[in-house]
Amino acid sequence: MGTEIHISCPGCLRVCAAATVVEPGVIETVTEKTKGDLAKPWNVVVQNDPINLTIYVTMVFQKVFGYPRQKAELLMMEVHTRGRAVVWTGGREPAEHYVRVLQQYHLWAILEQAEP
Amino acid sequence: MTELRLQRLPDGQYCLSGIDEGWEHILTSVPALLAEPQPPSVRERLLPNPTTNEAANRDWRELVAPELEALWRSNYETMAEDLARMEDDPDQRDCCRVFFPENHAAAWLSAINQARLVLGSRWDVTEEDMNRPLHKLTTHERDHDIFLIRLLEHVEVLFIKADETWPRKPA
Repeated sequence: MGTEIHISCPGCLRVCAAATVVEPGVIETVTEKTKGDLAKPWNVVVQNDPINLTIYVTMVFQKVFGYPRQKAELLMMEVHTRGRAVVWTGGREPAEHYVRVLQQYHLWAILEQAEP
Repeated sequence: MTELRLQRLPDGQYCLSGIDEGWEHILTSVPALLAEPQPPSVRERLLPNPTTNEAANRDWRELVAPELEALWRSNYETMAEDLARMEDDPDQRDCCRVFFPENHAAAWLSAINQARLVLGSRWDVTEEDMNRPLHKLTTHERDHDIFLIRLLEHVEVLFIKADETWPRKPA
């Protein structure tokens, strides 16, 4: 007996076994965009602005993420020279939290879905 | 203008000294500036849309933005209350000093940084503006505010460096 396996089963977001018979030995994957999107990682992006000081941005990255100074400075330089940097990647809820905290520090922070 | 100094005293308080008439005017202008209603361009910079999704942005504006604005208001009010306790400095002629508790430093830093951003957003200040030599700034109002941003940068750096220098409490 084959079992249909919904990889993104609505309501549970985990592999579960449904009772539908497909073919012996066949695993059918069903993707639901909405649920799948929730499971994808999110990027916290900081964009450059001409006013915030480099030393200030470095300090904020250290305080908010607990990054060592060297990593914080590298990210700050990426923001400064490239205009933006992904400073953290992970689940949607913590990403939203970090954007809120970075905006609290007046950084130009936004949320983007990470590329697969 | 005199040289501002920020010290942490053995009892944990901070003392900002070297506040002459010019610095007094600049420091007291920070809470006053932040208490003013801000034009849309400033609000958009301080509270940017966090996503490209309009529904999510609307939720953000309704739920998160008021919380952030209340926090910022509390910060500049703390700075204003501390400045109201400014006193003559017995060690420096024609200068004042102000003492404030350790846990007010973050509020001062937030208010000073926000004031710089507000002025920068009002005038759409660019990287080039920020790198212009001070002697090339004119008496135009925009250049006056760029000059103020640069002076406040000096105060902001004092607070950041003090935070770096002071021993951190274990987490």
